[in-house]
Amino acid sequence: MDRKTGIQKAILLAAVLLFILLPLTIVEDPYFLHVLITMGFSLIMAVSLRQILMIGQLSFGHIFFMAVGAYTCALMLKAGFSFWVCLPAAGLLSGILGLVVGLPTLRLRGAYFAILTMCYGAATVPLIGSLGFLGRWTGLGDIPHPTIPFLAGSRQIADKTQYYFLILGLVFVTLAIFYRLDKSNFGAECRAIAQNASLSESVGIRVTRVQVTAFSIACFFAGIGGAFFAPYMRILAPEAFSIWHGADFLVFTVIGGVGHVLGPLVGTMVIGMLNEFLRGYPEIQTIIYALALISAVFFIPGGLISLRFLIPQWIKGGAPSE
Amino acid sequence: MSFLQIVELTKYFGGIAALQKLNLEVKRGEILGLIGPNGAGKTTFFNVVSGVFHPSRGKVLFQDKEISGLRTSQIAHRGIVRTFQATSLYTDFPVRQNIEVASRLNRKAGFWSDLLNTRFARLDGERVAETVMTILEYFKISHLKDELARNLPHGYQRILGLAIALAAKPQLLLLDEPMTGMNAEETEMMMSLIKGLRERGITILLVEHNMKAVMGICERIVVLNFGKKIAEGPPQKIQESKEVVEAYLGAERYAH
Repeated sequence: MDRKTGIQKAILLAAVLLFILLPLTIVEDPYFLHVLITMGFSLIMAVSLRQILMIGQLSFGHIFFMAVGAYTCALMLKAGFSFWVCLPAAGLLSGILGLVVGLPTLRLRGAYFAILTMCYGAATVPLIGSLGFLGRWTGLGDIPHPTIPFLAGSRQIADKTQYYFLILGLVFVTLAIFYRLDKSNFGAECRAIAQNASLSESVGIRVTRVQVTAFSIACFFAGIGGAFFAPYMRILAPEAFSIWHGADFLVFTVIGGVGHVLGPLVGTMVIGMLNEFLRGYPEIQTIIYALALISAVFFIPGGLISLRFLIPQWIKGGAPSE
Repeated sequence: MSFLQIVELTKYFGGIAALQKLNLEVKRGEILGLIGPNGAGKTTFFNVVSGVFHPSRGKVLFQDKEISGLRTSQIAHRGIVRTFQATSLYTDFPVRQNIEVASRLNRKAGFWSDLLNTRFARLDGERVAETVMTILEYFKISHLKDELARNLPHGYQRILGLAIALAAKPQLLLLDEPMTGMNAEETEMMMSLIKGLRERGITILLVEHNMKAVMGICERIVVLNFGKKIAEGPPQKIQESKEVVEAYLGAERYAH
């Protein structure tokens, strides 16, 4: 193992330990845990959305698949199923729906695909509001907490700390899977298709198949994110799945950087912390937030994780090469 | 068994016939040249054969099986690979990765083996990596393997385009104006590279405007004009053909 990989692994281990020990030692404030938990499922949404960006497509409708996962899990939990059955079921249903939606739509070129995603993204809230079994506008309430079967007496997850560890585990698994995806030939083909789809076709890469697969995987994880969201919030209301919340995930991903799996992580945390910081200054909150986003896109188009390339070059004194 | 058979191929764009009842055969192992003035239908022909367009009428048969209407990737699986008139590369990838990602048809590991990084996938990956280096060495660009494709000088970019096509293990290679923008020295090198590919058993269909190159490497030439075949034969015959000269110089005659 060379030095660079060794340092990377050390940093990774330190970060993981930090996240595990955080609520146990320093922080007990439930609000702070809520912020972290929110970052957690937002991160799952952001990193799965990133996969869609990796095939060269833009989706404003990712929130739709989160809603599918959330309501599926909520209904199944209320019907008495174990959370550990609901979770994969919700993901699977979202994934299959992603397959159904992706197959006809991914053939469309960039702008047309994006507009289509905007359509079903915006349709999410009114769709939920019109369906009786989803609680219409009053919402779906009394969603039971997940139970952990292995611990003695089958305890229910009740407090924030336990939810924190649940989302931490889910985030870890999600990041690991997308990291593996990136390193595989499949990931390389996704990036190839994003750069040059017609060249990819001519060398035998099944462009549509790769795109639909990537899209379905992304939707699966959106479903997982939604499935966590349901019992955590205890009540599901259609407004939670507005297209503007969906836009948040896109912002986290793009600001953080699409180039690496950890980009959305950086984006989610930085913007999350920025938001919390600005909560104390309501007058200038919106302006500062907007300025921050515009500056980030303007000065660091590759996202915050691209700084790991740019900073060493700035230190060396040269201009960053484009 | 015929190799590539074009039967009464017709392609309309709106009211314009880009290809009209074209009949053509490419024999296995030959280098066939396809020439004609601009707008004659050469690139449309490539686009139809490689699956970018469906024929309006007629058929394309490869090794006696009909391929008209198949998707480009399916046609590539059958063994037909094309290069592009405008340089088409993976600009953000280094040279080595360009060839690597184009080696899809050379890989044996399936989706799950690849994802789970099984031993089978790793070994397959090593084998492909060796083939990639062999291709880079054949084209004498292995010293550029870590260079980003977009940073290469034009001549090397054209060569990379050819190397990418070779990575897809073609039986039939459709080369669309490979010598574009090359000087005399680069053209010579490209000519010997193409001849070398034929030595390795690849049949080549070459569209090219550089007449020296065409006459130099093609055993047989087909001339198109206005979507129709107007002449066919060895280079000598084509050079002496009245119809061909008229097709290329025809516009000049009416210019005054």
